[in-house]
Amino acid sequence: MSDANRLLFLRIALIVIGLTFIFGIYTLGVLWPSGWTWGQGHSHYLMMIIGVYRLRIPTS
Amino acid sequence: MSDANRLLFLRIALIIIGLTFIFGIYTLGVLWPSGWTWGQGHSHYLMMIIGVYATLGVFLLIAARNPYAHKSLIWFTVWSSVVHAAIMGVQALSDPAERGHLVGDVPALILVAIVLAVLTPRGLHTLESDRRTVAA
Repeated sequence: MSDANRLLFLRIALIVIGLTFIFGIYTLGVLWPSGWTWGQGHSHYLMMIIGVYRLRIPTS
Repeated sequence: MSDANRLLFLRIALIIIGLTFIFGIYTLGVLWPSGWTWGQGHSHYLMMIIGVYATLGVFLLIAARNPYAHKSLIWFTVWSSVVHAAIMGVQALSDPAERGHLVGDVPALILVAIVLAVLTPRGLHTLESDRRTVAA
């Protein structure tokens, strides 16, 4: 893979992962709870985890 | 505050915060549960949070060796602390069983954000440490 292609794919990956961290963690937890949320009933920690991952915005 | 002093204080802050994130989150949860752990009984999320913060702590210790080369990590720490503290603050206010956090992890994370935000320079900085990084 050339350096230019590698940089392009890296930028695309950072954007996809960044958007998934911002919007996907919460959405997946609602749509697919057995795979994306933990434990039974309410947990304060879930919203903390969602908040921390939302901040991982790529600076690409 | 001179640039040299600011860099020194930033490095000290990064080391203290890094070590606290690595060793302190778990320890404080054991010693002071009303201020540092959430909910009743076991939660899988607690160990996830401890793991994420311990990892961040290791990278903050690495950043302390040359903070200006790791500014995006430091700003991530500032803003994730603000967001995390805001979420916990709302949760502590809306759940009477969790009010103890208003004197525990909530103000502690706000303090982390303020200290790092005050000590980290904005914009481009051409200190000696930056030039060494470029030269390397």
